[in-house]
Amino acid sequence: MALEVTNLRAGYGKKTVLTDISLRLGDGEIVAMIGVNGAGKSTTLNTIFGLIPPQAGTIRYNGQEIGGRRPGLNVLDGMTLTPQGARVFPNLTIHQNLTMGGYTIRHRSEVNARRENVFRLFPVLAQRLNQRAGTLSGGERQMLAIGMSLMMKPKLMLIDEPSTGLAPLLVTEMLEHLKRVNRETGTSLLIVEQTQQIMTIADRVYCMKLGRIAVEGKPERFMDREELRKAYLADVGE
Amino acid sequence: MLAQLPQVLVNGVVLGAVYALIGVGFAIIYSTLGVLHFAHGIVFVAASYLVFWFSLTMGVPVWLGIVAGIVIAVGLSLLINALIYEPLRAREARPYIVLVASIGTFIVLENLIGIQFAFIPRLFELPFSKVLLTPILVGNIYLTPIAIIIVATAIVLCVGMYLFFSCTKIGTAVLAVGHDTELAEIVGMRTKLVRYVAMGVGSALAAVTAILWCIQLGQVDMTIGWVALFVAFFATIFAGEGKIAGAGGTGFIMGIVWNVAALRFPTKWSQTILFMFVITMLWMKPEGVFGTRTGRMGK
Ligand SMILES: Nc1ncnc2c1ncn2[C@@H]1O[C@H](COP(=O)(O)OP(=O)(O)OP(=O)(O)O)[C@@H](O)[C@H]1O
Ligand SMILES: [Mg+2]
Repeated sequence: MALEVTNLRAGYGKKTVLTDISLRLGDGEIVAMIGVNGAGKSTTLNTIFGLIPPQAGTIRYNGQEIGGRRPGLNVLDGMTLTPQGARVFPNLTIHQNLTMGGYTIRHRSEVNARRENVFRLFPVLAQRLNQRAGTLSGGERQMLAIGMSLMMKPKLMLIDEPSTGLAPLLVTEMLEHLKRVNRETGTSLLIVEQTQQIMTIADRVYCMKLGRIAVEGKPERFMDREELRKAYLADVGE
Repeated sequence: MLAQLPQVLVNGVVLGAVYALIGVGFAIIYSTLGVLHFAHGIVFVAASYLVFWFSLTMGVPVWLGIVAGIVIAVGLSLLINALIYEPLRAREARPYIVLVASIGTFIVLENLIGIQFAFIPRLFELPFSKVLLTPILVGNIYLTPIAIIIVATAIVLCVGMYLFFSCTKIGTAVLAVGHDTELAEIVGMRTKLVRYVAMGVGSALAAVTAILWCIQLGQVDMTIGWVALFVAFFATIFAGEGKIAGAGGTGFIMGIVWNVAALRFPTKWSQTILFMFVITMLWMKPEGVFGTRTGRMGK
């Protein structure tokens, strides 16, 4: 089991946003997380990754309890977070951003090899090596953000809305890229998404509502518009 | 007048070197912590007065006094970070709150030191001051050994900083912490540690600069804190966002402009001319002399 979260409670300061989250992610599995704005999807990813201390519950990564530990330690153990909104370092070049993505890698030759690997997936980035990331288009920036995570050759990737800012055609392409990474390296993916296209690559889906998991199921169940609508509106604990 | 020009330029470079040292130290802290660290001024006052106190009133050996002065001044800055900046950061205080807290800290500490030593300037003559201040004639230019030391230190430092921040991975990482602390944490950096190290290095530079400068001036003076602060602030902003070695470059420019202005106009005009120059330059190139266009006003 790559990731196992049980009865997680978390929030900001004294405020509780996640009331009770339990979810599992098998090795090599792709799990999608959907839900309305403000349901707590980003908060869930950030808490798993260690940016927000949990208030209660457990987070197990490969069987080890990791709740509340520093993100840097999770990175060293092969977990990455690609935060929402295509976050990159705007004043640094593409080259430097990728180097920073692989900050914890010791050997320079290894960093270079992995950078090449990212370019194989996103050739656009290779053409703009010395362009500052702040001047990239939204879509290019999203590719760079995911490329930064890929630098770590992660075993588990937490990705927060990878399709935002991408043209519809590129959404499919981006999701196919992620599927390919999953297939080639066996990386487990927990992807927060709003677009229905995520159902084409997901093995399983969680639908969040008001800080809880409201519905869990196979993607086929959410393919249908009406079913999806029901899931979004579902009473918590259905 | 043209005959004086070489000497004037040299004087400008010497003053510019002091400004460069001041600017680089402040820029390191500003770029990494993202804080307009007004309390930086107190490090200059503390370092120089501590050396004065240890070596000239308490009779501590000079070298020990200097080392102790630097260490305590740096410790003070780390304490300011631990007690003020880090807690305010954790509580997500707005930048101007941090700014006001910083200015407040400066004033409190300045007054404490002032009450201890009286606010008047004191003679600062270390045993080797006489040697360091005896001018030597090079060609037809007068130079003091202390001036040579200051210029050499400043040049080595600016070049070193430039190489560190543009060519090394750790240098890039320090800049990254300054740009986006959370993202830096996400890629695995120990951002808090980086902030303390930046504070320590920037303050150590300030302490060394303060001591060199006071040896050159032959006195310790409370006003050094405010003067250094203004120079630091202007050199850093004038250089451009995140341009740490650039703050050294602008320090040199400011020192040279000051002295060249004095060549043509009465010295009471020097300050006015310098800042008119700075404002004009910023008006023409708002991103700073070495800056690249990223930020926009209101963004
Ligand atoms: N830094 C913060 N401080 C306080 N409350 C926050 C903070 N960030 C988010 N929240 C609150 O937590 C709740 C969940 O936010 P979160 O960002 O996890 O939602 P989300 O499901 O990712 O939404 P979206 O689809 O819009 O990204 C919201 O009610 C939000 O107001
Ligand atoms: Mg979100």
